[in-house]
Amino acid sequence: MSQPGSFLYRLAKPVCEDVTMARVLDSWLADLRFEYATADRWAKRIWIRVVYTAAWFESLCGVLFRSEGVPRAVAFQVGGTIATAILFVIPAFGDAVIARRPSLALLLLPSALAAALSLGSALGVLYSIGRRGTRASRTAVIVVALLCSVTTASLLQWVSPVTNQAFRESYSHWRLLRGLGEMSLTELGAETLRAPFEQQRNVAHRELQGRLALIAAPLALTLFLVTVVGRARFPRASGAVLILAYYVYLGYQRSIIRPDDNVFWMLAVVWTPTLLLLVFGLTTRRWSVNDKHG
Amino acid sequence: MLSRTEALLLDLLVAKSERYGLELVAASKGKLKRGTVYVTLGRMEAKGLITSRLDESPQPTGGLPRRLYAPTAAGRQVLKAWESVAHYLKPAFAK
Repeated sequence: MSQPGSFLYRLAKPVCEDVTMARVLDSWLADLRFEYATADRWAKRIWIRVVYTAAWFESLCGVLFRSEGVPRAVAFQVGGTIATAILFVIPAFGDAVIARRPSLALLLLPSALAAALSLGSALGVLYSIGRRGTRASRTAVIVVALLCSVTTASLLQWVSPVTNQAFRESYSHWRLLRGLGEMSLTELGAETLRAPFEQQRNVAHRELQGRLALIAAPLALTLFLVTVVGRARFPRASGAVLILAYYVYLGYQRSIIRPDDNVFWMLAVVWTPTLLLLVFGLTTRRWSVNDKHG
Repeated sequence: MLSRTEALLLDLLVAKSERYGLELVAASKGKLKRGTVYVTLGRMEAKGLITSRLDESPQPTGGLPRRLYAPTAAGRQVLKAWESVAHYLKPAFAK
């Protein structure tokens, strides 16, 4: 059996700067081992493990979210997401019905937010970290990107299908059958198997894969940007071009795929850019954690 | 400016010249937690309020060397200043 605290200590090592490891985590580990060795009963040893696991988590949060640049990076991500969601909804006010009933636009917000989370969090990373990114700030923005991915999945599964349908019915004053845009992820998954015609199944597949790619997008873009921002010659410009190209592609991919295309071609078209970003981001991150400042 | 936790830690360290992190938690009688003490001590060391060294004497349990913390001269002065300001700001009926 390994020494108590070894696993958590190893887990913190890629996240924390060397000086933080020496000042915070080394003391934590030494005190944990001391208390563990002096405990006379097994129940007390278990209790010590529990207490020190909580202390590890609290210390890591304290280190990460109080580090220089981290509150700024997280604030930029959150601010970028809100601003992007609002920008997505504003064009809807050009519609005469929505202009008369602005409350209808609220029903569009969940869908706008689902699309804005990846863009907003990526823009936040781009304009906050820059070349001064520390290991702590990089980890914090990746954690936020992960939360953005989870939030996007939750919105697409439980919220936007309901609000999209409510929007359509409020707009038209009719009871309408739900289309693919008003289905949750699980309903779309079922549609890819149950739809009577192959073309319908393929269209459902395209919709489902597109949404899954959108869920992966915040993490993929952030991982990639965290590496690019620190290394490229013109980090912000190249990052902005990358984000723009990615979003243009996301919009354009629907016209590349036809309903009678086979599923593998569809998967390749939808997933290739996201997977490339993920793979490059993950492998480059592994090099960068050994940097003096990274 | 000192936070309340930093002032408490300095106060405990000034009372006894050198202490382990765990001793500080025990001496605070529940005011300090293991989850915050190491981060706060690390921050205070970065500010120059305290200094630390690894305990070179062999551990009776054979574990890792533990870190001992002590206040610096600057830390003592800051605590003194903080206490006088706190005393000055305290309402007359509470003195």
